[in-house]
This record gives sequence, C-alpha cells and structure tokens, in this order.
Amino acid sequence: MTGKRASFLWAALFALLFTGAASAAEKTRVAFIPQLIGIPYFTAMEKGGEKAAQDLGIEFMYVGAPTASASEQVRLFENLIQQKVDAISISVLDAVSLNPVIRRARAAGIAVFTSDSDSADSERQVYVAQAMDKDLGYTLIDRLAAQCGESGQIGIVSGESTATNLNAWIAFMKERLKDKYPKMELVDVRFTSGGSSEDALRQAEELMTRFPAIKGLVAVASTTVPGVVQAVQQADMAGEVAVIGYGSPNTVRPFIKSGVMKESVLWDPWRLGYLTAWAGKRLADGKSFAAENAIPGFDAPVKYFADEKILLLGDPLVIDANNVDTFDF
Amino acid sequence: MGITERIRVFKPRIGRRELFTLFLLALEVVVFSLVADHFLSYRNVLNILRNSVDLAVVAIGMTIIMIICGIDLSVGSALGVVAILVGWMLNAGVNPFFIAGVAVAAGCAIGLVNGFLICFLRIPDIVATIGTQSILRAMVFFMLGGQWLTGLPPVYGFLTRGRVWGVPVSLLVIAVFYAAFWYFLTRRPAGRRIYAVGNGLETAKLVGISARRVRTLSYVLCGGLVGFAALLYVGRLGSVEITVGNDLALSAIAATVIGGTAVTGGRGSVVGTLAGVFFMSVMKNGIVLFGIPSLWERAAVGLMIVVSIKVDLMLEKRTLRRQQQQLSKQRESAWAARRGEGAAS
Repeated sequence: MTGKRASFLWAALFALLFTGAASAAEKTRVAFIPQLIGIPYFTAMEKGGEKAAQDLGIEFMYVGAPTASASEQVRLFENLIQQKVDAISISVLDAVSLNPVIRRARAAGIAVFTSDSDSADSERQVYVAQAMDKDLGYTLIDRLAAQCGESGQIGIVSGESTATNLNAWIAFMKERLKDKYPKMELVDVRFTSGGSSEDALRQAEELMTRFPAIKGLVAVASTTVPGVVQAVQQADMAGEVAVIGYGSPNTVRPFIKSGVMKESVLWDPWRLGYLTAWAGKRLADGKSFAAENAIPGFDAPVKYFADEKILLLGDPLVIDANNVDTFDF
Repeated sequence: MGITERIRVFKPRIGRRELFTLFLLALEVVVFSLVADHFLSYRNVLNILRNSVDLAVVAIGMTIIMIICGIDLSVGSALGVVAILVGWMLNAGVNPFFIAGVAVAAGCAIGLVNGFLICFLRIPDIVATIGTQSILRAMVFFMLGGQWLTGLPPVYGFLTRGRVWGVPVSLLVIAVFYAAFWYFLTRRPAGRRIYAVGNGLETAKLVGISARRVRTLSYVLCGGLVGFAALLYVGRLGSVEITVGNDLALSAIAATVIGGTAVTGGRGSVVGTLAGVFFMSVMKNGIVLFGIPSLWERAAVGLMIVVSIKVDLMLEKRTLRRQQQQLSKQRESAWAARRGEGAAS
C-alpha cells in the first residue's frame, strides 16, 4: 500500500519535472542587457520586448544593472552565457570590454546581437538599430537649425564620454553642421559624469556664461535633458536659447507644454524592444533576415542592410506639442 | 557641570589649516579671474553660489560626521529618496512648510537608522553606510519606477533663485547654516562634545560623555541636513531623475577633507569646509569656462584630496613633534630637579 503510493508519488514527481523541463526547453529564451535599468527609455524597451514575447511565444529576459557600467555589463553577459540562453542582445556601453565576451558567447553556440547601441567590430550577428545614427544626428541638427534660423553658436551637453551611441550622434551632428549649416558654430561639447542632470544644469549654465550669444543647446543623453532645460529656464533665456535633445515624451512633456523646448528627437523604444525580441527569436531559430521584413503591428516593413548587418526600426521620431500626448514612455 | 565647563575652556580658533584652504581658494579665484573673461561676472558668481548650496548644507553634516571619526556614504542616496518624497508631495499640492518638515524628518529618520546600525549594532561606519547607501539607491529606483519627476512646481525655487533686499537667497541660506553650525560646534557644550568624542572615544567616556549618544545624534543631525538639502535640490533642478545625488557623498567628503577636517577625526571646522565647497565649485565652474575637457574635473578634485591629506599629516606630525619636545623638556627639568635633590641629601 505504502509502496504503491510512494511509487505513484515518484511517478507524479517525475512527470512534473519532465514537463517542467520540456516546457522550459520549448520556449526560446532571448535576453536583453540594457545600459542601465530604471530609466523610462529602457523600461519602454522592456515592455515592448515582453509584448513580443507574448505574441511569439518566447521568453524575454531583461537583465541590467542600476548604473551604466561596462564591467557590470560584462558580468551580466557572462552569467547569461552560463545559463545557456538562446540569444543575447545588448546595448553596448564599451565595445572594447564586450567584444571578447561576445566572441565567447558565439563559440558557445549562442546567438549574439546588439540593439540600441552597437559595437560594429564585434562578432555580433546583427545590430537592431533604433534609427541610423546618421539620421538621428542629421535630424536633430536640422530641427535645431530651423529653430535658430540656421545661424549662431550652439553647445552640446552629453552623458559619459565613453557612450558609443552618444558619441556617434555627436559625430554626425558635427558632420551635418559642417556640410549644410556653415553659419552655425559648435562652440563646445561637454560630458557629464554618469549623465547626471545636476551636472548638465551646471555645465549648460557655464556654457551660457562663456558664450552669452549662444542660440542653441543640445542635450544628448536623455538624463541630461531636464538639467539643460532648467538652466535655460533659470537664466530666463527660454525662447532665446533653443533646447533640443533626445528626450522621451514623458520627460519632455512639461517642457514642451511650457514652451522651453519645442521639439525632441527620438524613436519609439517600445517598438525597438519589440523588434529586438523578434530578431532574437529569428536568430535563435537559425533564420536570416529578408531585405524587408513585415513585423506584426508595424505600419512599415523593417529594412535589413546585409552589408552592415543592420536591422533598421525606421526614421527618427520628432516629438512636439502635437504628438507628445500620444506616447507613454 | 564641572566637566562641561572644563571642555569649554579649550578655545577653538580658526587654525592654520583652514587658512591654507582659504588661501588656495583665493589663489584659484585670482588665477581664474585673470584667465577667464566671464568668471567674475555677477551672473557667474550667482551660478556658482546657487549650484553649491545643497552641497554646502550636506557638507556641514559630513564635517560633523568626520569630526567624530565616522563617514557617511549614504548622503547622496538619502537625498535622492527625500527629493522623491518632496516631488510627490509637491505634485499632490501639499503645503510647502509641511513638506519641508517632512523632508527634514525623513532625513533625520535615515540618519537615525545609520546611527543605530553604527552605535548599537556596532557595524563600522563605512560598512553600515555603504549598506544603507545601496538600500536607499534601490529605493530611488523603486520609487521612481522608471519614470522621472519632471516639471515640478517651482515652490522651492525661491530658496536657490530668490532675492531678499537684493541679496541672493542662496547666499543667505549658506550664511545662516554656516553661522549657526559654527556657533554650535565652537561655542555650545553639545558641539564641543562632538570634538571630544572625535579626539578619543575612551577619554570622552572617562569624562562622562556618552559617546554612543553623541555619535547617534551626529548621524541624525547629518540626516536632517541632507533632508533640507533635498528641498534645495528640488528647488534648484525642478526635476528628480535617476542619477540624483550620485556624486554627492564623494563631493561632500572631498570638500570636507580639502577644508582641513582630519580623516582621523577630532579636528575640523565648518569654515574650512565652506572654503572646500567653494574651492570645488569654482574648480568645476572654471573647467567649463576655460573649455577644458570634463574628465579633468575629477582628476583635479582627486589631486586636491591627496594634497590636502598630505598637508594634514605634515601638520599633525609637526604638532606631535612639538608636544614631544615639550614633554621631554619637562621631563629633563624634572630629572634635573630630582638630581639636585639627590645631591643635596
């Protein structure tokens, strides 16, 4: 009697274990490592990724550190290799420290791709780009030029000096200024420690002191946007010094409503997260991309550039008073 | 009562160490004003003042903590948590004076937790505050939940931007706080007890001071100052985002050390700390005005910390040597007297 019951229990336990293992094996696990957690931007990516996971029947793992640190990213990446997930995507903070780990993950048979911020010389299989760095840099300068009448001094306040994506945008901003707006002069590019808003406020004020005729300020890192806006507001220069940056709608909403900021340039991180999860599934299944890919829920097909191995979300999004209320990130 | 009277006998004065920092500050100001055009402009001076006001208030707390030979690494995250509370209440339209009360109380409560961990659970200061620092930083993330507080009502803007009879309020805030704490630390028995504890726990105990109480209260005091600084931060930034207070603890420690507070405790003054705060603010300001790459800012501050501590050690060594010389002189004369007695008998 007891023996029978025991063997039944064992069998039940076995069955449970087995089905548990089976369902875990069935679901493709796609991980994403953001630059840091706790900011609206990456939170929106997380939500988009989770939605895609639901639609595609995969598991989306969002693993990040509370501070933007390259060594933390390496540690998390190594953890994921050990967990033998199917695909790892990452928003690269520092290419030099990540490239070796990416190579190791590929050797272990894991699909690796970058998303949001790239390391072009790594062994990543694809880069899911929010928008071409070129388009982002160019659009921002075009919008700013329109606001300041295509002439005058402008200054840039960025985040950490090592952030790959921020630096790429700044490079294209410079290029656009040189090619198309000869009357606009970039006076300085400032970097803030950890992209802190407080630091951005101070440095923006100091730029305005040093260049009293300055006509525009660019807040490159999203965390620096509130600081730069506050600097302009406090100096009573709203309207005289244009502020533009890559700020999320929730962050810039009060500034656009009060008029200190006219426009903010970004893309939809929710959709970027969705596309990241979708690309992860695709790579994990061993499939490649077509030149144009139809993604469920996307209006336009997503382009794939085979030469550079880039999957492009689309054109940059210009956020202004008309559309700011339609987003929530 | 006799004990407090005896403690009061030590007449504190602005020592050479504070003068050294003041001299450095003056030198910095002179050099910068010669090199950068806009440095001494009214607007720039105002900017420097406004941007130092919350650090200045926190640095008072850090000075007290370092005088009792402790350290508080949690001030930045604590300021973040209180700033979020303040932001929430501002958005809900709560009475500003009530909010101010809550902010200071919340800061004191955080300080009390630190004090409890350190004095009652006997966890070393640095370890305990690293712990609370991490916990409070996690709370900042949790409370903001990935969405920042932006466009807060400018209720406290007055504290950093306002003017009373033409005098910037930021200057008044700094003046009031530093005058009050200078008086407290140099003229009040409770303030002198802080130095007594910092100079030697055992000695302080022997003269009847409850070291545990003094240390706990010091952390509470520091917390309260951080709570008030959070109001200033919100007034100044008008927003709270995730990096709030990230560099605050290090800046406050740097200002305190540059200002001549001994890392070994027992010595230091708010006068020196204020000079340290301005030294750092002016340095940061000048670096942008000159167009020097931002990275050098940290290098310069780091260099100053090392130099300051070295100067401290040199001064301390010299005082020690003098004391020893005096002691040996006394001993020699005592021996000579005894020898004289021996010869006589």
